[in-house]
Amino acid sequence: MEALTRVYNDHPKTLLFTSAAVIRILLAIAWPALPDLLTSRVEISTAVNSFKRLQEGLFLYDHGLDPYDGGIFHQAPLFLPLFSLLPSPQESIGRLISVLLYTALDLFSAELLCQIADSGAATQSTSYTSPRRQRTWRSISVVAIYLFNPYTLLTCLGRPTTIFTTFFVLLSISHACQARMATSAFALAVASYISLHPAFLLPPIGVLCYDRVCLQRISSSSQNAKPTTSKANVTIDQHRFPSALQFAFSMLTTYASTTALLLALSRLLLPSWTFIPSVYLTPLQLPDLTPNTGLWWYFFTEMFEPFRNFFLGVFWLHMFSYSIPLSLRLRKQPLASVVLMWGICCVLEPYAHIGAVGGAGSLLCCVGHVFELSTAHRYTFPALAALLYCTLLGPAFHHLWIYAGSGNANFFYAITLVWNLGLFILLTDTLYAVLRDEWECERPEGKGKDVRQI
Amino acid sequence: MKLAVLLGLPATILSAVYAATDPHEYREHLHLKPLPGGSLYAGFSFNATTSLGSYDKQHYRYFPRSLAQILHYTHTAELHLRFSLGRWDEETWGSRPRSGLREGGNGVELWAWLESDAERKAEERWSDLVNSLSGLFCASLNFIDSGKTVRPLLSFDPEGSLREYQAMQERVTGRGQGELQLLHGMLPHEVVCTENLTPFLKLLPCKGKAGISSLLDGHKVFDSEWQTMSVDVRPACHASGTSWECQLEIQQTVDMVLNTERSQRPHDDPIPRPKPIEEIKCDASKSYNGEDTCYPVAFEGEQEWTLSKIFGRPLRASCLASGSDTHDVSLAVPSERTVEVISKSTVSHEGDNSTRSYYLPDDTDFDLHLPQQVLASNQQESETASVHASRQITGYGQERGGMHTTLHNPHPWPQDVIYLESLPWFLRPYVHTLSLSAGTIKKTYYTPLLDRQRGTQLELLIELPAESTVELTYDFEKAILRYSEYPPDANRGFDIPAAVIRVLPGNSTLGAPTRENYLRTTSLLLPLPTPDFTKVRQGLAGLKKLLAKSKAGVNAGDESNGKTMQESSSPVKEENGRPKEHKKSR
Amino acid sequence: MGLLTRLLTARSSPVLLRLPPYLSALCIIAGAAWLLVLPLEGNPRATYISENAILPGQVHTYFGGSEHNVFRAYRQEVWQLSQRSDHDRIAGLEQILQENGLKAAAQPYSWQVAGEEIAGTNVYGLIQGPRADATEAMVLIAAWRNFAGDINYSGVALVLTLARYLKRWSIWSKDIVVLIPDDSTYGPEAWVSAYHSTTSTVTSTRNITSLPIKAGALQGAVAIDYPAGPWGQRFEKIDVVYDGINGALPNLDLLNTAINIANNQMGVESTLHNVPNHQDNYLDRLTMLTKGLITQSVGHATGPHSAFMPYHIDAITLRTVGDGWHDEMTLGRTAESMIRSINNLLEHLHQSFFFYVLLGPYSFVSIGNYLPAAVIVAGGLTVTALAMWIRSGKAAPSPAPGKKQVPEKLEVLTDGDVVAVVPKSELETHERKMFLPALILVGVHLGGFVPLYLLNNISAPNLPLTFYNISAVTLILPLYLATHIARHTSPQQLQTLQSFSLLLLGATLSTLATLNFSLAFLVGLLCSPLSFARPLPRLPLLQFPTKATPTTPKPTTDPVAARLAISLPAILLYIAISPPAVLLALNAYFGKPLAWTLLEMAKGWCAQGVWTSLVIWAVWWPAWVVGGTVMLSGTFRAA
Repeated sequence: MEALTRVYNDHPKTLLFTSAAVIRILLAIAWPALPDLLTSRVEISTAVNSFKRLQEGLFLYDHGLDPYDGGIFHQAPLFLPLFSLLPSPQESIGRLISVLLYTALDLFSAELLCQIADSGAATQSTSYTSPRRQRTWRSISVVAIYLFNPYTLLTCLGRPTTIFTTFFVLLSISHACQARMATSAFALAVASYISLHPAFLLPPIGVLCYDRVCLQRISSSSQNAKPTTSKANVTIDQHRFPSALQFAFSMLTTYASTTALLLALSRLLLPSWTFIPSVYLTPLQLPDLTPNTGLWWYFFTEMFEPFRNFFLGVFWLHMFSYSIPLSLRLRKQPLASVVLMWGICCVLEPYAHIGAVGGAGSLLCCVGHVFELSTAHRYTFPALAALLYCTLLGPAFHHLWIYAGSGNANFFYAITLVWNLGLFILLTDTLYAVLRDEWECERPEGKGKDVRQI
Repeated sequence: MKLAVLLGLPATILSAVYAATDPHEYREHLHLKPLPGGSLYAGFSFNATTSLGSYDKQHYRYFPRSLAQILHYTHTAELHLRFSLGRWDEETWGSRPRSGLREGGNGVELWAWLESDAERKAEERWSDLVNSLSGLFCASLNFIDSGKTVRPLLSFDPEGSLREYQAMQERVTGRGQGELQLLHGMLPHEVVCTENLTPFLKLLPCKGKAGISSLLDGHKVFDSEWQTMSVDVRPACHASGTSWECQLEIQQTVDMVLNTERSQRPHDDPIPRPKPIEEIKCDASKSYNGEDTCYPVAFEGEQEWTLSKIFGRPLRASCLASGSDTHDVSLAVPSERTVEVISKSTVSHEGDNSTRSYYLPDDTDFDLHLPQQVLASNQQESETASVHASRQITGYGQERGGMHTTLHNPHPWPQDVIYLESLPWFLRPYVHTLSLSAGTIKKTYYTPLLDRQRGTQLELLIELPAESTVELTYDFEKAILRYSEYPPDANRGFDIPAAVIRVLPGNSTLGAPTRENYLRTTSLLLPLPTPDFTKVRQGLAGLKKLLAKSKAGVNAGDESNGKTMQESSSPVKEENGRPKEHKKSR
Repeated sequence: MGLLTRLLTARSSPVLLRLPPYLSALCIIAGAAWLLVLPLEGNPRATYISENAILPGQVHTYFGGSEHNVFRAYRQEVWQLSQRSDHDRIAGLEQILQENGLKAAAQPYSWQVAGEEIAGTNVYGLIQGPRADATEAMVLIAAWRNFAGDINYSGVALVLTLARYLKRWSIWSKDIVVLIPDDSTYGPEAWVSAYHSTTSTVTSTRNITSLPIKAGALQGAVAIDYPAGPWGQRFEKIDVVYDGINGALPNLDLLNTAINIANNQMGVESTLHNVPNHQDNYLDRLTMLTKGLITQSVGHATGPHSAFMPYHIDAITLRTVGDGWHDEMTLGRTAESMIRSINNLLEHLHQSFFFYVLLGPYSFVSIGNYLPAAVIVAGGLTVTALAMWIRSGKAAPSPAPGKKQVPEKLEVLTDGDVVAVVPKSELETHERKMFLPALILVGVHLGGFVPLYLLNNISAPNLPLTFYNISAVTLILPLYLATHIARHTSPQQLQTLQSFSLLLLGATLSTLATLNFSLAFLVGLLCSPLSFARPLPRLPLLQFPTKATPTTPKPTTDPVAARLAISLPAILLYIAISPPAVLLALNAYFGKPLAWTLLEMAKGWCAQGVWTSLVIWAVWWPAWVVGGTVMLSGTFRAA
């Protein structure tokens, strides 16, 4: 026991990572059927990330057929060569290897989260420093949240390819926090090449990255320049900042060129361009209405034909409509805007699944320093309770509808509604807290007051 | 072995047709054969031919004009149309009649070779064909759309001599020779009934008024254990000296298995009431046998039946007064079975004396009566079928399932079979899970589905080892459709067409038959998840509220702070906001 | 927004913090009362057939006449078969089916549960509807041994006669499977699971051979339970048994059809749950409600039909009751009429209710009316959980109300006309230490799987002993946890722990309520006292010497006796609602030997897939342990 505690005190990260890996692998070994069972769950696998569909695509690819000339496989082409290297997961060894791969991916993501949390981007920006910076969550606890929350855990065993999206998004954010524009844009391009909707993160991440670059300049200058008040520093250094336009342009070009490169690579692998519609029109047009935890499937099952395209447009616009306003309103706390935007994407994406929620939820903890506000003034705990209820009720209602046949689609749909409502409340509360934090440092006398609308 | 005769029949007819000089030929033939288990097989076949020249001149005699015009218009070189109902019981009845060549999957099945130089044109003509045929046969063939159409590569070969036919066509009508394309479609849910039989009979020269077709009565035909109607049109060419002599010939068949006991029930009272106890033969050997206790003994021997009673109407005089040189009716029963012919008609025995053939009288009715009889040489052994196949959907729930096909090869020689499956798009098979318990897959042709556009086509060439049972399995997922795509009675599920199995001719050194034959599995029922058709509005309203909330929430996070600022900055609030403090401060 | 902010203001008012105990108490009482209200006049609805295609009792039934003689013969035959060996019996049954022109087959199956073997062989035959397209089928069942374990002489004979009779019809739109399983529980289970699976995977505990003959999708099943001996016996009533595994119910339409046909077409009185001469008054309805509740909450099979329910196949059992003047042919005609009705169906039964509580053959309440009972009870737990959470967020309790002292800083919160004066401290939340509570909670819940595993894998003779050991450990565990956690935890952490546990319990129960209402309701009632568990006052006499660290006996306001007066009843009640205690009590009440019950539970879990034991050990047990830990932690808190 003492040894354990010592280890925990000395290298907590090591302990966390090892235990996380051990849990995942043990689960996969103890119940060999578990990974495939989870793969078949609608909450985890959707039309665009299912591991089983990936196997189908691989099969066709290995037999020289075009995997995209069909209605089953809609995932990014570059997965094909990657996974064709692995042994087939039908056998136990292959399954284990795939689980290992995804476990490693999870650990990397956790590491990235750790970097993001440590970077201090949450509380410190060029124009703003949070008064609650001492309340920032330890990176360890953020990592723990990510590695041990059931959503991430189950998703890791379910092995959907969207885990790669999460990974690359986190990579992009962490590099943005380290003011490394090129790599950040590159990672984001990969993410949106896999899943399309991470493209909406471009504005907030751009702002974040720009802000970090400026901050670097300040700090570097403040070292050689004789210490004065930071205010003065800022005013002095204004002209030493890179021009925002130039920065945006270079970031965009990096992003675009990466995307083009990836698409070109994919074309080299495949006989035709059919993968473009198959991969990118599927989320846009939603041909596959298999139920998931998102909001789209039911809506477009019941939608009248003439309005289908209109509402598809509306839904996508709605998702996009958060991107720019958030990054403008939260320009003082750019990381918060990124975190919130990612959360919104995970709720509103056409083929939603709990894996994304697990990732976004733990990313949310990077702005944990303001949680005291949201818990004090908002409904965080009820929302969490609602999420717990949904987590249990969702599968039950799905069972009642699909297997027992005693419930109908509305049962499951109602639960997905509540689930997304809970997520939204969490997001809006955090947004509230972030803004409140900002406002309180302007008007300290307002601390602890409740908000009332008049 | 006696069944060989039965199998041979089409061949004899064909030869007769080929030999004919007059291009306008008409033959009809009825084959009767009692089957084990008190059933009677009746196979009607009607053959008419016309020369290609007169076909192009649209001048017909026996060849049905209505059909010919459709074929002409849609450039159909060869046509096969099937209406089927029920199951052929291989364990009891043995191998299939006409070696399965004139059978279809449950419901309606259609395949044809169309002349066209482009894919699209072929599809246009195909849709023309199915639409006009659906009009002609009062069947909803027009539902065979692109989603239900497949283009098999291995499963079907043209019966007619298409190449010569095309050459001839080109010569006769200097029309450009197009590609010949095979298209195939199935409608498993179509219920075949009288409204399909009537137009079928209308195609015949005698329109069911005379000849063997006069036996065909909807009530009996569709009360049979198994029944299939087929229409086959094919060009038959043979060299005459230097040039080719081509004819277009149509063969219509009606095959059915009737339950003699049930079919002979009186027309006015078909209800199978319990017989009075006197009529039931009890097993006296049982210890408890008494006047109120009766263990019924299984019926043995040959059942009594009369042709007119079974079909509910007598067989009228021959259709074409012109005496034909082939027999009209043939009856395959052992020679020791007594047969009373209730009309003046010449009888003749064929090769081995297991089959008697009759010419229909030109003026009077024709009837047969076979009394009940116990034969010394009991049940004639029925030849075992070449392959037994059964197909089921496994698993439960409306999310996913598995297809499970069992192919049994009872013979001591290996057989090659071609297995064709055409699945609708909302059944999503996972080919990587396809597995074969034994035997080997020699070839695989797979066309993946496209949502709402194309169904799956899976064609396998499988070698079945001798005396083995091969299990073919794969997983699939069930799609959920848009609410407008569900048919009425959505909760019944969707019918999945039968799988077509073609048994290729084996090498005769092992004693395998040298002629190929076909069989089809039963069609399947696929339950899909159904959305709620009633509470649509509420559901959508909920979603809209949520999205509105999301917007509102995000704004609110913003506004509320603004509000607080105003409020705490306004002096009035200060006044009544914190009275105590003011007092203190003063 | 306005309402929400008002709520927010209210949340921080002290009133709300004192409310929850009363609120949850109210919830529990309301939930219990709800069920008592249901049978009142006006609440139950009259049953009706909502699937138009089913046309119950609209067809004339012809089963009778010479079939009666055949039936007597078959009954004699069945009796003779019962005298022979199993192998001959199987062969004999198959032969009779084949004589009648059915395709017959047999399916052996076996399970290994708790060191005992459940084995048998199912015989079944298939009537292929001449005009059917083999896509659908219905099942007619007569288990060789009925649910009570008697040989089902007349039932089997009747089914054989019916097979012979139905074969002659050509009107079937679906195939008919005639199934004669070996027993009433595991035979059907084996058959239906093999029917839906591709290949039979043989494991150490389960060996079910696959079926040689299959038909299409099963649409419905009717089982006949008529164990009258070889010389027959007339019956008085038909008891319709409908409960499925895990409390699943058949579509109400099927049930109504059976009752309708029996009562109206055949003139046989039909009962449910064997409640005799049900006058439609409050007491009878309540009795039926209670019986239904108990049967459903057990979740085990109640007849051959039960195994079909999890596969979404509606099924019922017709069981003859008493000694009356109805003869076998009446039962036969009832079955015939049922089969005809199912045959009429165009689509799978989906119109009517799947969730209902029957109060009489003709009256029921639907889910909307009874579900609240369970949900309210679960809600009571959640309310406490929320309260605990809020309280755990507050600072250490403000000074005793005894001394008058004005808080140095007061906040006045005005919301419209509502003015609340609260000390500043109320508004400040304190960082909660949630790691340890979460760890304990997860640990205890995982621990729940230990008894589950043991009780399902120990060989039968040792089951009672194991159970007693488990009970002992169960009773000690809270004590142990309390003594060892009380040291490390702050009261705040305890509150958090209890909050989590209750929240989880509430969520699980309301989920369970949608699957098996009765079970959820009963467990909810038994767990409800846990939401009132608070750290008991410290009892110095119970202190372990080891823990008797040099403590300065500080003057206590209340005497030990008073503390005992509080503690003892609490602890006694607590023990009374522990899972083992309740199980033993139920055993004693129903007068079954413990060994039998445990074996049945093990069989249910391993062979039938019944969740009840999972609920007991993985939901109820952990909640109970955590509650006890919280309660006792006060007793042993070091001064």
